[in-house]
Amino acid sequence: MSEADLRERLRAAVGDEPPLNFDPDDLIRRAKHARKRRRALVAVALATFAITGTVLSLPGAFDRRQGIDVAKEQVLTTTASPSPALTTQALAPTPATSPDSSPTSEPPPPVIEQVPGAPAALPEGTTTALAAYLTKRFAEVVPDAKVLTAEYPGQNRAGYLTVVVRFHDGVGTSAVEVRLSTTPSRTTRDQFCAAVECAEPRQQADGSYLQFAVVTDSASVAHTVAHFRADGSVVQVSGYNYDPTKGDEVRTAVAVTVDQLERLATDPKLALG
Amino acid sequence: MRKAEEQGFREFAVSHAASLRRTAYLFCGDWHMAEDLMQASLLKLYQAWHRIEWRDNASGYARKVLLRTWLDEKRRPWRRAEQRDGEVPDVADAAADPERSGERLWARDLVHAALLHVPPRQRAVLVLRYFEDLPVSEVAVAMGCTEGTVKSQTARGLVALRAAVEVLEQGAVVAS
Repeated sequence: MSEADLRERLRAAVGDEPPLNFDPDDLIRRAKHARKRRRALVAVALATFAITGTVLSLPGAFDRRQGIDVAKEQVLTTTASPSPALTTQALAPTPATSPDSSPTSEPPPPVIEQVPGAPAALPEGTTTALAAYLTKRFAEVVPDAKVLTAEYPGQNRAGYLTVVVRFHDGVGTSAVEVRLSTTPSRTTRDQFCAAVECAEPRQQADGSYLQFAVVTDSASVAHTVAHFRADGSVVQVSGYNYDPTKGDEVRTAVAVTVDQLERLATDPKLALG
Repeated sequence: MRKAEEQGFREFAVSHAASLRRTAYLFCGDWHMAEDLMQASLLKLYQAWHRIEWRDNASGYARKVLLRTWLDEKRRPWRRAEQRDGEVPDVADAAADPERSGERLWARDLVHAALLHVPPRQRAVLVLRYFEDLPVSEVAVAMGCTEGTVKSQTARGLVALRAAVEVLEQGAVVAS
């Protein structure tokens, strides 16, 4: 079969073509309907996508903007957690000589900005390393004292750590409490000063601020130095005129000086990061 | 679509509907399906009419859409060829010329049997080249392949068609 034969046979094959009932208006009407339906489908799909995206993204956006102020919530407390020793011996913030006084000489309570979704705990080894360093550093800063224990009581959570260094000097036992906080549990200056009466802040050369606070109640006195660092982290160091782990004797003055507290607070190696 | 564009499409559809259906028939071998393919192709063409109206070759574009529509239809997994096992009623054809009936039946068998045994893309090349009388370059555009592929597909299609015709001429029953 040649190519010419093929041409001829193909034309012959369509010779018995049935009549064509083609209505262009009907075709155009169907085409318009199909176009309208396709556009409606696209619009519904886009609307669904937009609504779904909005629903999924808005709560996250709100959560990022507004941290939960745990101190203002009734459900959670942000006071310093007692050390294992304190849990058994009962933290005595006021000395025995004034048993009726309320424990208002505690250092300013931290106001924690807790961001949901943050890691639940500090990295492994951070707490142990900081307690060990603090033991060594405290002996350098306060050479007359002998460190008895350096413990990190309470919750170990991301961005927040408390270390209590208990020591003995010529007068008796006392302790300093070191609180380190950073994102997401950072304490702001406003939050710090909202709880206690602060002195004028002192700005450091690196842009950080030192904030000083004195809390007195009856015979008990607590000095706190808070270092609000340029990287956003905060180190609060508190000293007492009694032993906060026992509270059995009151001194005439706070066991550590403000200068010593400041040296501890501004130590760059005392950091969570 | 504006009125002028719609009128242009209407004129195009009226003038090309019959030829598109004939081409579709040679593709698929069934007039009903050919009509469906033609309608579906014109519907697609309407959606794209604002893009192709002022281009050089609306008929070539329509041919390409028709071919794609048919190939897509063939690829659908749920599509199955009809199994004809019933008896076709024997009715008189008033328009039939007894003297030419043998030739016409042969031609019909050629389409229904031999051509349908050629693979789809080779069949399409044969129809476009020998029924539509398109040059190799235009067939390549419609098929979306190179001219060399068109030539090789044509050669293979002719070999397959001749083999099917030989079987047909030997009197073998070829299912349509």
